Amino acid sequence: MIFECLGEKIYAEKIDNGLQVIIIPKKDGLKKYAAYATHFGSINYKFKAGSEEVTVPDGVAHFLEHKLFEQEDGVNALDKLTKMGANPNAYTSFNHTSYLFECTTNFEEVLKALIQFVQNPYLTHENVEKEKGIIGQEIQMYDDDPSWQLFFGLLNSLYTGHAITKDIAGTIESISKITPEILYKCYNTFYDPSNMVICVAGDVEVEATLDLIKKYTKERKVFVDIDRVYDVQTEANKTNKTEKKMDVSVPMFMYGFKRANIGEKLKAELPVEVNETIKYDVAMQILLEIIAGQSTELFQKLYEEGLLTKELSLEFSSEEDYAFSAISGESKDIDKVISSIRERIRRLKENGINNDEFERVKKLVYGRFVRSFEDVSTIANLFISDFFRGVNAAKYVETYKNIGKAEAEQILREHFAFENEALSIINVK
Amino acid sequence: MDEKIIKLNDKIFVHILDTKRFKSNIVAAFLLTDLNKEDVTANALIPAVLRRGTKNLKTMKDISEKMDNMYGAVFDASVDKIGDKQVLQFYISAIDNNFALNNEDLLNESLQFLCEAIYEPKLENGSFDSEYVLQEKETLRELIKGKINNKGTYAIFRCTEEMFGDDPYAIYKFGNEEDLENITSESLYTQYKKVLDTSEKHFYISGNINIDEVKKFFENKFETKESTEVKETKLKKCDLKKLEPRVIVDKMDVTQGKLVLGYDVNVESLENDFYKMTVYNAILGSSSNSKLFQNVREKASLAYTTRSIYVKHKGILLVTAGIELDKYEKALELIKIQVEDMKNGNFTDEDLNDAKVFLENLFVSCLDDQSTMIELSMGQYLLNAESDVYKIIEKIKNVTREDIIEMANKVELKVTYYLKDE
Repeated sequence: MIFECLGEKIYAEKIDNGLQVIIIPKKDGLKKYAAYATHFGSINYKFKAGSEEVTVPDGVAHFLEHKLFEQEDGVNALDKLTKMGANPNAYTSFNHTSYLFECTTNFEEVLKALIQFVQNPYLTHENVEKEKGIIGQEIQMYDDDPSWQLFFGLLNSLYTGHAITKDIAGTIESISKITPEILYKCYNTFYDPSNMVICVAGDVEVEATLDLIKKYTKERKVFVDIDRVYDVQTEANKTNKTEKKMDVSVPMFMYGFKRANIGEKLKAELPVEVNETIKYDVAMQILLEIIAGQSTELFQKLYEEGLLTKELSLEFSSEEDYAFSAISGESKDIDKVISSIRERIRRLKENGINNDEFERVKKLVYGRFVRSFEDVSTIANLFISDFFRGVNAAKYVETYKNIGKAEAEQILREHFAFENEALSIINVK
Repeated sequence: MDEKIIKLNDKIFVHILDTKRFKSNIVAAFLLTDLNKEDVTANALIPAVLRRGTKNLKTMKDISEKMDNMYGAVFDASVDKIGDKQVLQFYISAIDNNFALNNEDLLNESLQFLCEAIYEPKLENGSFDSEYVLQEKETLRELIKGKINNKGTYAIFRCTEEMFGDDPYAIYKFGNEEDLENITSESLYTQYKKVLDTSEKHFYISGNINIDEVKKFFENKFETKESTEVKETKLKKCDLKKLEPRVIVDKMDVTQGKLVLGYDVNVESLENDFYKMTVYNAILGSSSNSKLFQNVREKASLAYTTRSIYVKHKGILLVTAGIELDKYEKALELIKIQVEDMKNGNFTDEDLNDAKVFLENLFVSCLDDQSTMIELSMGQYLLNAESDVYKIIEKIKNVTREDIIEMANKVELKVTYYLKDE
């Protein structure tokens, strides 16, 4: 299939072993980017592949990400790709793990090396034990990171009891239980081509790249649908406010809303048409700007009163099992900021959105997307994460152009219901 | 990168980076002032006040709406430290005219707007708007206090502060809280006029542009005059010869310790030694194949992050590591061994080659990001060094093993800084 987006052609094909391939040939670019990703992230600690239900310790997906670089010949894959002139890396999110590189020369050789190391795990008791020290350091680093603590504070309130509230890297206690057997179990289930995607962006030959991927990716071994078992939120513990004290100069806050009904779970695929999920996303991007963006009266006033010193961060995150919006910033009077935001939401719900403002903000979000479409890694990562949640990223431009004010207003009233709100605060120690 | 520099007069330079690879363009301006204790806080405040309103767009809301209508153009004004220069920076980026939905000339709007933001601020009785000054003073105060928020950058700042003492490079780029008390809208406006009169200004225009139109725009805007000034190297290397090596320990509420080792490099020329030190730094600690990463993180598991930074505008080397609190001695020892190894030529030809391959990719990649391109060009200009990426790569390729060992033996530990728990 070929999709078009902002003058770029996007080639998508599901090859015989079940692997989804996406190629975005950006002419004249110097950087080339490729990522090999699996639909397995930190929240997938419970799953069924066939009849057996498996539960693994927290932090396994991330642990596996670290370990895959280790190869049987003793050469670390990270070093190998770096020696080839590439800039390799990997990351684990709540719902996927991605191995990637950026390079300016040697693209095909490096891509081959990427595919090979992701497909050849080498896990021993010794190398697994050694990794626990390094990951332990990483976990501690996040313990000292106020933004990270703020974010998880919000998640804890919105999704009490759900796996999304757990640190992606796990805890020092949980990773101590990880063994090579557990890692292989997860690897053999989730690192099957039928559960993965390769996305390439940059000035590459489409046919040659596709042939290379077909030649070097492995055979499919998993023929059942993997059933990702998700936690149900434990309402009993739900509080809508969390507070923590840390070494920061100004208190920080993150104020969010959970989407109560996230609708039908979408399959990991590239839909041909605009679907409900992408429409909701675009509506939320516009709505958050209208509520608390830089050009609002609200922001202007709070800034002048010295209650905000820089723009608010606005985000909406939507995946197969959760969706929430968040407005975050720093302020010496958080109560006042939050009550102003709530008041603004209340008014908008009551009076609707001003027409000029709606059109203006549409231009803003469209332009922002155009800008993001410049960088090969941003584009590829967007296509990958959208693929896993059943969204085709080539469809944003069309959605920006066509979204109506009435549609957005309906989503405004539905999403920003105060019974779904929560607040996370980091106070000055 | 294809860079064309137009010198309008002694003080104004226009750099044009004409490239068709992007979907957006950037117009940026750098006003270079000397970093000093007297002006630092006022200078930091100037961009903050200018950001608030212009003659025609009087409030931030007006400016934001304008940016929205330019399809989410991004405007910012800030201050940075490059060597001994305090640099006032102004920046606007908009999407390429080809993607505008109603044929707007966004590049021209960007040029107009940025010049207005710098030269035609909103005034009140012949001076800055006093409300804006009052509010921005408070914002700046928070920014100054916020120095402690990111422990990693704070530790780096503290280490350089200890290294430089009374030298301007020890000054925090946002200034200090005490100075804020005495700044009024009148005094700030006077300082602003002084900066406009005396600073050297560099405009950068990057993207899919019509060079003649851009040139005409600037020629209409500013007086053009054959330049008489001869450009000299603008940045001074450091002189830390008299500094006795010292160990500094700070305590804060952290679960991970931050170790920063500050080295004087004793370079002969910032410009000429840049290439050698860039390769040295890649072998020691700026790439994932580096000695620090391999030996301190991968093999010994002593740190989650560890790297080295060569500050090309000052000729110093910083080695940083995020470590477990009880591993201070061990990590310090192992880091010192890596630095010693460099002196003794304990690295392979393969290490040298890997470093060059890594750097080639790094520099070519700069060409795929306009703001990085601009930053590199401005930085190299101040160093009086080559800014063409392919020529930089050529010079890097010519660095030899002997060059590295020569530089390694000029590296001298001055400050060992450790941020630990209370």
